[in-house]
Amino acid sequence: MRVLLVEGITDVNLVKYIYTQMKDENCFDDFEPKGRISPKIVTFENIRDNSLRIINLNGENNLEKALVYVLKPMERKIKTIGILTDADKDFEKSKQEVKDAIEKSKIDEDKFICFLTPNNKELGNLETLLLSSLDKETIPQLQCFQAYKKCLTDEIKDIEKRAIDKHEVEAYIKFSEKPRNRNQAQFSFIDASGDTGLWDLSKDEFYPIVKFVKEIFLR
Amino acid sequence: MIKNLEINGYKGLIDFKLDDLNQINIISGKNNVGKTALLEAISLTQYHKIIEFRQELTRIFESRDLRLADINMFLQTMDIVLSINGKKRTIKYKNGDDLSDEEAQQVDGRYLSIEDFLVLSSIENFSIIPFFEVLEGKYLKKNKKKFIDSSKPTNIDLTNLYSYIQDLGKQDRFLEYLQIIDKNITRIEPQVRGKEQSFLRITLKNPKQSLISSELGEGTNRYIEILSVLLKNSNGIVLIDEIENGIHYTKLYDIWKAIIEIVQKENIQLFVTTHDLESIEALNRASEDMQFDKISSITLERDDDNIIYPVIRKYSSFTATVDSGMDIR
Repeated sequence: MRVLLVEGITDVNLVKYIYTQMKDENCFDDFEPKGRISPKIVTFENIRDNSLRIINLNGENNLEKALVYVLKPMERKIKTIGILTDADKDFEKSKQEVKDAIEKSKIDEDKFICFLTPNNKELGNLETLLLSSLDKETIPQLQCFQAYKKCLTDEIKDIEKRAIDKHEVEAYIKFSEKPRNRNQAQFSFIDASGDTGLWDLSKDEFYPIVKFVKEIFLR
Repeated sequence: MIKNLEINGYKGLIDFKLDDLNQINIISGKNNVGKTALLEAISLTQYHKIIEFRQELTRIFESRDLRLADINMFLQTMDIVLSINGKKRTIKYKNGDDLSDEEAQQVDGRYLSIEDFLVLSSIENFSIIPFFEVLEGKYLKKNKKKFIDSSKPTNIDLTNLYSYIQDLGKQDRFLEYLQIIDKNITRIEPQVRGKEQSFLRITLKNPKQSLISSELGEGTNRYIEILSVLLKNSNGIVLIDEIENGIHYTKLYDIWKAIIEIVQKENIQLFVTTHDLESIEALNRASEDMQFDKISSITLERDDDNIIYPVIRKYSSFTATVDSGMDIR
């Protein structure tokens, strides 16, 4: 079994999107949510290959719980555990938190591969990665957004960068050229009519995370 | 209560160990990973008298539909060493030549020409049963007192089981629990018709009807069987194979709540197998709502060499895993 733990639903959908491109076929919905649909840990099991699972932790605080209570008892069945989390404002601290959770779980460390968004080197998060892949000067809604962002940060103190980034990603999705029910970031990869084309995985910015997901599911 | 056990060899279970057993133990796993065999191995060691052991063997032969030649083979491969909380009980096939001096002394003069034996031993004593006596067990009444197998109970089974409830004077509680699955049931009583025919007669409220229990759904009969065996076995062990058989998934939550209440009140240790996710989820919800955490989950798996091994989860791990949607069947 190969398991990839992620922090939120947008991460789940990005991983599913990478997997779809990796397989070069329409298999975005192959990962089906299981268990209780509540603000808890949710497993997405691949219906064609049930040895592949994505676990949405719905917040990084659940990492230790998932490792200790869910994965440790079934360790023998698991070949690889991927952890996809945000580097946030302190790369080393975030890395250490993941290390601590792994250590507490007592799962064989050799089974783990970890990746801190945006690119396993720099500070930031998933939104940082998504925005870095866009050519803002050629996207009208993002040009408008820069002025809006300046106004917001001038007028309101202490707005978290992450909140602005999330807002910018939403603006990009919502006002893209061919709007198709894309009110939430999670539907921005593939929606009812297929690939939205909003995110280009062949861009250099995506290379490290695509490589990471391939390593988890193909190793 | 059995806290841990070891099985050296019984069917597919070889060098098999279980720790952290609890009051309710839910055993899951794919087909042919030894779920039923695990229950059988436990039940075989739960005898007080040799006749009970033979009755249990008879029940196993019948439920596995074994013919004479199969039974011989079955017995010849038997090597159960069940260590219950450090105290060993063994059931082992031995050829006459392999008997220890002490064992040979016991059979000496009685079974000189017999070659095949089952040797049952515990800390206190040992007993030697020649094969022909085991095979004669085929004609014994099968023991359904603590092991509920996956087959549909007959009218006679249910009437016999219900008679224990009458012996214990637990009819009112029985009816109360039975109404969990069908509030329309107002009365249950055994009836004998002729020499061979006995059954449970069930009275329904609306429309007012009197039916034989077998006229009701399979789930109700299964539940009657479960209730009877549980209420009969206070301070004992009960084993249920494929608990979900015949029971509609919407009733599983209420049934688990009833079971949790009974095992607590009657001080019963329960071993249950299932391959039904809904049954596992229902137990998880019922235990959470009743704040009952004396549950262990055992998932049987096969490793790369096809050896069966258990994945044991204590309650916190069981509930986190089920909630997360990670399949533990």
